[in-house]
Amino acid sequence: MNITLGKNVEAGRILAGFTTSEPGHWTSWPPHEHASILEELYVYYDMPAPSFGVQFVYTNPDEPEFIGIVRDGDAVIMPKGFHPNVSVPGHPINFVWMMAAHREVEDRQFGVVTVQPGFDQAGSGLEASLKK
Amino acid sequence: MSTQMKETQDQLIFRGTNQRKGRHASITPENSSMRHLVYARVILDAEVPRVTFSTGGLESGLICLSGECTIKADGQTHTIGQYDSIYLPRDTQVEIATEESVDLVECSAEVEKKYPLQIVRYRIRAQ
Repeated sequence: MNITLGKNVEAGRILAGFTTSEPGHWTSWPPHEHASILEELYVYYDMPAPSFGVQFVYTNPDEPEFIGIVRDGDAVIMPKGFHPNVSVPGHPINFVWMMAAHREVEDRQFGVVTVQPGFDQAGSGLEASLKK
Repeated sequence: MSTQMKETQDQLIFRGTNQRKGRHASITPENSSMRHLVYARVILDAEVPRVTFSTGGLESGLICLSGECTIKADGQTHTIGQYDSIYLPRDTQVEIATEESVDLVECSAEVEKKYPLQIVRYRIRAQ
C-alpha cells in the first residue's frame, strides 16, 4: 500500500493512495470500516482484460450492500461498511483509494478503523501508518 | 444460510470511468451517496493535450497513474510522472498539459480553509 496524500500532506478532508495485490490474494484485510469519520471509494487500474477482482461492501456479511466483479476503470463507493476485495489467480487487483473526512481536519485520520469482529486478533494491519 | 444482497437505493458501482478523454467527474455528492467526495479522471493525449479549470470551493489531489504532465497552478509550474501526486488548494486556477499522454485520478472535496499547494514524489514516498 502506498499512501501518497496522507499525513505527509496538509489538507482539509482528502486522503488518497494506491494498493496493489499479489496475484490471487485479498487486500483491505482484515476487513475494516471507518464510516463515522471517513467515506471512501476505490478506482481499479492496471487490470487489463481478462483480469477482474471481486469487491465486497457490507455491514452485515449475510446482507451485503454490494458484492460484484470489478474491472479496469470501474469505481466502487463505500459510504459505510467493511470493504475487502480479492483478485483472481494469476492477476493482481490494483486500485486507487480515496477518502474524505466528514469533519474538516478533525476527522482526517488515517488508520483509525474498526476491524470486523472475529478478524481482529492481530490488529488492523494499519498500526504502522498511525505513527507517520 | 443464504447470503443475499441488501436491497438498497444506493448505486455503489460506477463502471468504465476511464473511457473518456479530457476531465470528467464520475462520482460526486450529487449523483451518489458520497457526502463530500468527488472522483474525476483526467486523460490527455495528442488529441486532447490540455485542460484548464478552477478548483472552486474544493481541494483537489491528483495521482498520476501513467504518463507525464505539466501542471500550472498558483503561479507555479510542476512536472509530474507516474505515481507522483499533487495537492491543489481551493480557489486555484489550474492548467494540465501533456506532450505525449497522461492518466490522472483526481480526488476532491469541499473545504473551508485554503491549504498550500504540495507535491509528493513517488520515489520519496515509496514504501
